[in-house]
Amino acid sequence: MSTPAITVDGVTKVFTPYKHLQTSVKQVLLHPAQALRRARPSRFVALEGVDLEVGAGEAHGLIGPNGAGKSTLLGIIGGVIHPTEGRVTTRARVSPLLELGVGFVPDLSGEENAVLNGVLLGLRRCRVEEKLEAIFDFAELDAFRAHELRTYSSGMRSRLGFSVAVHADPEILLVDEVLAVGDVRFRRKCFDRIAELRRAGVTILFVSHDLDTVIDVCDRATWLDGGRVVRTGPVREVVRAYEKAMGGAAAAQGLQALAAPPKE
Amino acid sequence: MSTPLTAAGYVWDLLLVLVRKELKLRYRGTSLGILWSLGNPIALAVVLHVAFRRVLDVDIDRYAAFILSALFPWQWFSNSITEGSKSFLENGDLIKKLPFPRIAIPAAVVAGDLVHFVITLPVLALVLVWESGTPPPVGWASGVPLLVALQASLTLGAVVIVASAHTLFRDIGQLTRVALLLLFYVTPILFPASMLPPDLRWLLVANPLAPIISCWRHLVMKGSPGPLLPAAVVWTLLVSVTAAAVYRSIRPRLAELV
Repeated sequence: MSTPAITVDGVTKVFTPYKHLQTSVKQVLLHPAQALRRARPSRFVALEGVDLEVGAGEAHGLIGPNGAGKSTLLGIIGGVIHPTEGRVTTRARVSPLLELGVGFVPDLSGEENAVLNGVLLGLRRCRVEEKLEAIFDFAELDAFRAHELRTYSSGMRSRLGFSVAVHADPEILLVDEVLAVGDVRFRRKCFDRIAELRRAGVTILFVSHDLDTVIDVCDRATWLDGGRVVRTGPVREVVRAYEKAMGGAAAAQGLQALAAPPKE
Repeated sequence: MSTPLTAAGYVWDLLLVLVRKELKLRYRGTSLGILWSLGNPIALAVVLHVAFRRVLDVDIDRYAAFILSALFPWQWFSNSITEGSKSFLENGDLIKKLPFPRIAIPAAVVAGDLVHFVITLPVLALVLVWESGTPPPVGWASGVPLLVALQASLTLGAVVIVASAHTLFRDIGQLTRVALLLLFYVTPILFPASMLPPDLRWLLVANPLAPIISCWRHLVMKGSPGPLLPAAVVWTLLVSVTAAAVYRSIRPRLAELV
């Protein structure tokens, strides 16, 4: 691997729910004892001393059970969450694809939403407008550009969301379990597009419970559990070790079925 | 990598798409669109003129212009605070998922209301012509941009402070409504500042909003921002500096708070 595109250096994230501050004035006035009890901040350690290096152009999988800290780590690398300790350095522009179509507005047209979404993802407005053709072409929604988004089916929305995100000139793409888009054919198209981006040298950090997909997409992987790195290395090795620890391949299959997104 | 110039260009784009979203949503499906925002001010101008000049005969020269010159900027401030105070909370999913500059959210609210305010300026000019028969004074050419810039900064600062506090204390939403109601009556909007008895004159400079509102009225009625301009500048600076400090401290935790 060449110089790392993402360096995570001893990152610890402690969530302190701000519930204690959100107690209302009434609470304090009427139930002082209870309010005081609540005021003791509870702490939740989501990540503890995590080190990770992702090389430029590498596709890196993040696996682990629910609550392992995968999404928190992605959020920190994406610049949305600030680490309690440690630091993250990214060498290129990060496009977080944490959720498809975040910020979509039902009462605006597909085209207006695409522009809004593209700018929110970090593109200049003129750049998104140049790409509208390609975005709607890829999403196979040409006929619906001027239609209001509330008339779209959920599959159409996801397709538009994915299309905007992959057209947002990503250099580092963070993908959080969002590729289960549309029907089988469109999913294939999404993976082809991801592969295309990889060939173009885009670094990808990929979170998924679908271990076969992780093996398909990634070269290397990191297994997180309880906020710590259990193992990192070539994708097959890490996935195999993870499956073993999860109680053999059969159980992993079961987990996978559970984790699989609902069909449309 | 981005230079400060392209970064500024990006923030501008961000602001533009967010404001356009607000305006499009508000006037969606109406045939007059944004022209509707003229409805309220025009109705208000007619009512003030007919009711208070013809019927009640108030002893204030050019009464409609007098009231509206303070009421329109007040509405800008008050609408921005009302909508802006919940803007961080309402855009929680955006803040949690995307790393764009968060300041764009309250800034878009203030900018949207600025657009509505600017639309009321021609109404104000017409009212002035109608009541005094003379065109708006030339002082408007420099005074309007100056006061718009001052009030935009002051309002954005106040919105950032209130919206940030709102993420920590949910009571802020209700508190804001009460505070705005009080502020409306301690600010010389419905009455001339000269009506304040001498022992209450300090209210004029102790109230962060009174100087800028007085400047607007002075500009519209007399053609220059008047003697309270320095106070308006000082309040704008104070509020902006405080807001910058609040924003800096809240920004890293915002995704966890909303």
